[in-house]
Amino acid sequence: MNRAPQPTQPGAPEEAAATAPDDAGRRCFLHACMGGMSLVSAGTVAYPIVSFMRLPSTLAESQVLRIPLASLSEDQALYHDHMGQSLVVLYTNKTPKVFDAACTHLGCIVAWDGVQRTFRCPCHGAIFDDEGKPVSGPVSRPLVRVGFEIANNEIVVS
Amino acid sequence: MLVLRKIYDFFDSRYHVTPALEVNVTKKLVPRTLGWAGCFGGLALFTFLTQVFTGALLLMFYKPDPARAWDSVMFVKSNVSMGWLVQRIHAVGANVMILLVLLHMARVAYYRIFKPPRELHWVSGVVLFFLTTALAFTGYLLPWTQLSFWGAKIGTEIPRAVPGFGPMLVEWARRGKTLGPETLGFFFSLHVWVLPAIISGFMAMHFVMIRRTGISKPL
Repeated sequence: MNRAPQPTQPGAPEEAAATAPDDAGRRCFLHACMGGMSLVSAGTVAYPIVSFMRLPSTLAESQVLRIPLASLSEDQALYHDHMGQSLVVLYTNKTPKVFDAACTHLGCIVAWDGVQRTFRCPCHGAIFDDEGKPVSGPVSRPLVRVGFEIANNEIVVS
Repeated sequence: MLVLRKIYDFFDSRYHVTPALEVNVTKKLVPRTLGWAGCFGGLALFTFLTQVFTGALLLMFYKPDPARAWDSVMFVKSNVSMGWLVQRIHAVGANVMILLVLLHMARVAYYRIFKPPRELHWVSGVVLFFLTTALAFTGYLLPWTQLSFWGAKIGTEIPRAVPGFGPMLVEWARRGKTLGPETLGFFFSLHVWVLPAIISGFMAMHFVMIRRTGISKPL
């Protein structure tokens, strides 16, 4: 940070002492310029890096899941991954139901047993009926129902 | 500012930062006759560091799988903010780095700086040059475009000319008879870990040797 002192003006040695405060002011000003320009340079490097780290807007968008009704058959369960969740579509008595397939005990994915007409959790043996109500095992809460609409012969989960 | 000063003083009083800074940076005198051509080596190091940082950013999105590699690069270029800039800097920076290394070598050769006691500076520098080209070659395949695919195909064909081992070397470099997912994974691993680790080691050697002998004093 220490700069060599400015050479005094030739031919005016007696004025050197008088100009010293001006010189200090100039040095201060130049230091501020240097600092400011360094900050601007640092900013032009930091700005692209910081904006690159931001979550891209396309990843933050919520997606719409469309399942054609034709892909469903009576008493069959269809699993779909949707935005990090595993959803199960169950088709019974000609009506579809959509559940979050995560067991309400500790989050394992429940499996549909078409013979017993129950959802079974592979982890701790929880059993839910075809309405998602707990039947036995270490659970007290029913499977989470997911809202949907039916449009153009498709189940639309948004 | 006062806080920064206090933090600096904390370290300075314990580790004597100021004398080290003075000797190496603020009060270091550069020979008067050393011209701008003496900057190429340092600039090559600067581009290498740029490649490391932009590469680390690109790595957040890249997927080394033929089915998804190109899409992941396009995602960075079109959907990530400033992604186009980072991707361009990385791609153009590779060419700039090779150019700077060549200019650095040309200057060292022209001024005969490789003469004793600096022979090993030159040897390690040649290794660094080959490592730089290897980094550029492996990185070229990663976007999995037509250009990169055929570029890698032709590049891995070259060692076939080696007598005896040729075909074996080609298969080794391609991870099989043809270019495929295994080739991409191999090149990806070389590009982001193996070669940067090796080149860092050689760079450290190169710089330590320069510090030990001092730079060559121009006439």
